[in-house]
Amino acid sequence: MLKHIYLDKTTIFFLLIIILTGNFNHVFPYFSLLMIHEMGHALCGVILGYELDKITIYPYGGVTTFNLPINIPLKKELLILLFGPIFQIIGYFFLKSFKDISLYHYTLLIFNLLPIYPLDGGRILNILLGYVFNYLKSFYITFILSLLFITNLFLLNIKEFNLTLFMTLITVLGKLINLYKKRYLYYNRFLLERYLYNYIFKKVRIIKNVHGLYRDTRHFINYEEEKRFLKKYFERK
Amino acid sequence: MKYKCLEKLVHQKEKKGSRLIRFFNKVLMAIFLGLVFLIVMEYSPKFKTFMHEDVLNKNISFGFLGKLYNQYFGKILPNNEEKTLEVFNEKINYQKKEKYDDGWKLTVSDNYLVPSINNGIVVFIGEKEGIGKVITIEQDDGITLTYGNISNSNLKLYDYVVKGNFLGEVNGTTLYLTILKGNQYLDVETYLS
Repeated sequence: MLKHIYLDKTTIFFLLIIILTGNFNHVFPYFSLLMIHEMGHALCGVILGYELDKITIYPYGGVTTFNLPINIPLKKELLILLFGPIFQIIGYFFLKSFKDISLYHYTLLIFNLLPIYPLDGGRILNILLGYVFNYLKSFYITFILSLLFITNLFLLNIKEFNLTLFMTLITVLGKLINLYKKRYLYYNRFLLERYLYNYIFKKVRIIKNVHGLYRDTRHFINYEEEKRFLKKYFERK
Repeated sequence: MKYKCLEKLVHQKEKKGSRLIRFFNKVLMAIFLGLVFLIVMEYSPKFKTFMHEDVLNKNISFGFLGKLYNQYFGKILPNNEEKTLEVFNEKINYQKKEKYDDGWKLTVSDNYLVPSINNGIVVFIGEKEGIGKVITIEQDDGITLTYGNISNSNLKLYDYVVKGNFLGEVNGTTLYLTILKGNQYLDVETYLS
């Protein structure tokens, strides 16, 4: 498990500042709460049978990544995402004797559940939108909402400047832009998985072109079976 | 998964060199930096005195750095400092002062309640022979204060104390106080007033 855990550069800077300013007794409760949150995601994912890739620790929360296919059922992905906050709430009751722990708990919880895409809240939003809209459209909606929330947080940060929050916001924004640049690459992977493997979906939808595929559903594209259409799409010359 | 290579192309960056080579590079870098410092110290006596007097003999003042950071970059962790603490605005009143080693031996009233003189961080709590329980506080203004012969204290190591915060009771009638600024020991009367 330990070989999967990485500290981000901003976290190392953050720890250095904590040591230089003498806030030693805040380090253990804060980071143990953060680790319990990440362990929640990791444990749920491993129980569902997915391979753990890595856990990266940022000052305001961590990111747990698995080697997941994009066509994973929406319910399973939602479960993995929800287990982090649930574990954190359980861990909070065990760590309650530490000073200031309630404040850390609520800031971590609220920050992680904000609808900004690489954070837990944004991912949950993306999945919930996935039930209604198609893959690309739900991604665009979450992208725009994330940008709105990030700009709001930047404005709040200007009013009362806080360096650690500023650094985390910049890293989050960088990740969001990177995801936006790679959106067609991910969409192509989404189609390729459907072409290569046999997934069984209950829902059926009729759509007109390749750009409107939904998650968790079987399609008829231009009155043609999805598999045959994708075969033509990938094997054209 | 069959096409794990695709996943790795997207997510992982390539790492160059084995672990041993990276460790060896770090060791070389440390030796290089040490040599550079030694050479510079040999050529400029100003740098040498700076290294000997300031870098190797002075402590880092946590309180001062923390105050500076909070002033320009905001809070480090989301903690609120305006807590309901036992605060009383009272200076240390004493009847008699006597020199004792580097510090001062003050005669105060029986079971006197000791307040913290300024904001700071507790850096040491422990027993010392002939003095009793000792609390050392590094203050934001760069001065290190040591209170001796104290009982009934519920402070912990690395706690942050506010000006006027209750530190503990004096055991009997004598309070030991040491005021250290840099390398100099200050007088009680001039510091407290």
